[in-house]
Amino acid sequence: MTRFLIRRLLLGAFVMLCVTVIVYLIFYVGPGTGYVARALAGREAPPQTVALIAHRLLLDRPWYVQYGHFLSQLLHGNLGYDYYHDQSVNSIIAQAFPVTLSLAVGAAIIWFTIGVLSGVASAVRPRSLLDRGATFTALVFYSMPTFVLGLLMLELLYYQLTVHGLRWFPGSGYTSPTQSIFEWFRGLILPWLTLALVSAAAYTRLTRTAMLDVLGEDYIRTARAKGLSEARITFRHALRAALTPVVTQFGIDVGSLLGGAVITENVYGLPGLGYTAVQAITNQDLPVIIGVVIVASAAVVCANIVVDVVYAALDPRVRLH
Amino acid sequence: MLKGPRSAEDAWEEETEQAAAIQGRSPWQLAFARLRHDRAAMIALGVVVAIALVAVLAPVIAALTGHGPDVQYLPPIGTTIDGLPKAPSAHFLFGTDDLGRDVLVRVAYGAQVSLLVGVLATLLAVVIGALVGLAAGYFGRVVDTVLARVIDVMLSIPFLLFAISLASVVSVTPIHIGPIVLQQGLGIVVIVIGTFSWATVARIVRGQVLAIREKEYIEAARSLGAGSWRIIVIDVLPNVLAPIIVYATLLIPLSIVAEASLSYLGVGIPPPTADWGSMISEAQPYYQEAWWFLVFPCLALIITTLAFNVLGDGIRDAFDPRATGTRA
Repeated sequence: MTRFLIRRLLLGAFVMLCVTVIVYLIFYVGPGTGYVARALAGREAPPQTVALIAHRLLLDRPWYVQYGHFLSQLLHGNLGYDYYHDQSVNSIIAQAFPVTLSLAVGAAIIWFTIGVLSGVASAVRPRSLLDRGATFTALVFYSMPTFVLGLLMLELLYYQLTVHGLRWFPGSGYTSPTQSIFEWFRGLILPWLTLALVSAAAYTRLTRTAMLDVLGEDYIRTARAKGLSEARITFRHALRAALTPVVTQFGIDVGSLLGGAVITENVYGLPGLGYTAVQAITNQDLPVIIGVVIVASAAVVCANIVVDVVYAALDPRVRLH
Repeated sequence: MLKGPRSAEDAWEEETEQAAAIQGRSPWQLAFARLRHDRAAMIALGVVVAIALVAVLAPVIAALTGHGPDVQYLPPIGTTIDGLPKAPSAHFLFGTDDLGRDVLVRVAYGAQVSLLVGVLATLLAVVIGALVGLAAGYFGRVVDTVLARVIDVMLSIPFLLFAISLASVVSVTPIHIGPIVLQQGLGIVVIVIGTFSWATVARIVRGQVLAIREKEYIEAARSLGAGSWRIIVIDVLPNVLAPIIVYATLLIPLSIVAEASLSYLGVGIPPPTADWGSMISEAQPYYQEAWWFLVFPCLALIITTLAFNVLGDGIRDAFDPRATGTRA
């Protein structure tokens, strides 16, 4: 297990190294020299400022010095300085992260519950009306782009309700839970539902397939023969085994959400990582874009490691590969 | 001549005669027959064909209504005097947008972009993914180790963030790679989506090839002196074609959604090209006053992705009838 863990961590570090190379290529090499300093200085900066920034970031030095500097700054936990907001990128990300975390965790709880329960309900009575209804609904939400569902929710649950005098949900914005837990919760209901419904669909499909596989196993027949109740068989015996692939997917999805739910945050104007990234892109605010991309990739890599380790702890065969 | 007990040869001949009467069917014919009896998949296929027709006939629709996709009608015809979009009427069946353009004609033209990007990006992803997967699975050893790591890296990259970053860099300063110039537009969108989706195809193909590589007929081909690439193309590829086709059908709606998302975020197809994603983003500020501006492109997008997903599920079930289909 220790060997597996070490190998997995090394692989994670390697993946992160590749991500930094790709980021470096996209933002420093791709657009050509001059772009980076120009973008950092802002449109109206005089040539002296541009030259100064280029010099400070070693942009006038060869590529290996540049990349080495970029990498060593990252390894020291320094994501750079945001000239646009006159603030360090670390503090910008620290401000945005709680928003993304609130959104991701809430949505994840909802979609996991809906997805697994509807998947189980479908699998217990395959080809029933309930199964067909659930799987078709899942397919509709699965096919729905996040921003389409978000905007339709805004139109129906915010605008139409508000017009008819029911001010249940705010249209956009974020309230910190330290200010008001209630407002925080109320403001996040629509974003949570949007993200959850789009993601739950995949879990319905995944749980249903896994449950149908497991329910055909011999040990389920044994459990039935022992005279256990159907509910006990479904939830204690079958679901437990069927959940493995579902939980794996769950870990990966939550990990990638922690890097910012780009679309949902933008539809509802929630100032999380994804929103910050899109704003930064509109402003050509390079250090922030790079910072968010690196943090988001790190979240995915960490989630993958956690998932693999948990998986290996549950299933010893995995460790051999 | 003595008639001895029925020889094995006779029996074999009889059996083949019977078999000829039954008529052998290839797995492809079987899959196709199963697909034809899948009502949901056939309806979905009809919808896909209809959308493709709308895309091809978009100029005809424009001619019939007399409104070009980029023609802006002045108030009070195109917009209200206050400059707001006008509701659906006999003149504009789906209403008009904020600039006084016909939403119906633009939705029709938007189908062109969606289908083109969806299909081209999927093709790109499938070609790269199949090549990488075949090479990794067949050659094994160092090739496999390196390619498997590359696949791991690609799968750990947050797609949307990278895609919008790349598209935004390109929109400011076009990237020159040799004679090719990458700038904002259809080409970069196809390349970005294709680049970030081939890894899954490669992983699926690699898994299949690893199993096929150990089969006797591969060993037979090798002992006859066939070269590696000949074996890959003639003996391995046909056997991984079914999963590739299934995944490709399911990749098309994902690519369509990715294109619409990029355009929605303002880094996809640049205006004034009619595109569902950018239409929805343009409609967002007006969702309180002009529902039609938002709802029609949304519906077009949902119907298209849903049709491709149902069709893809049907094709998967047709190729693997034992698979517990998700649509029952």
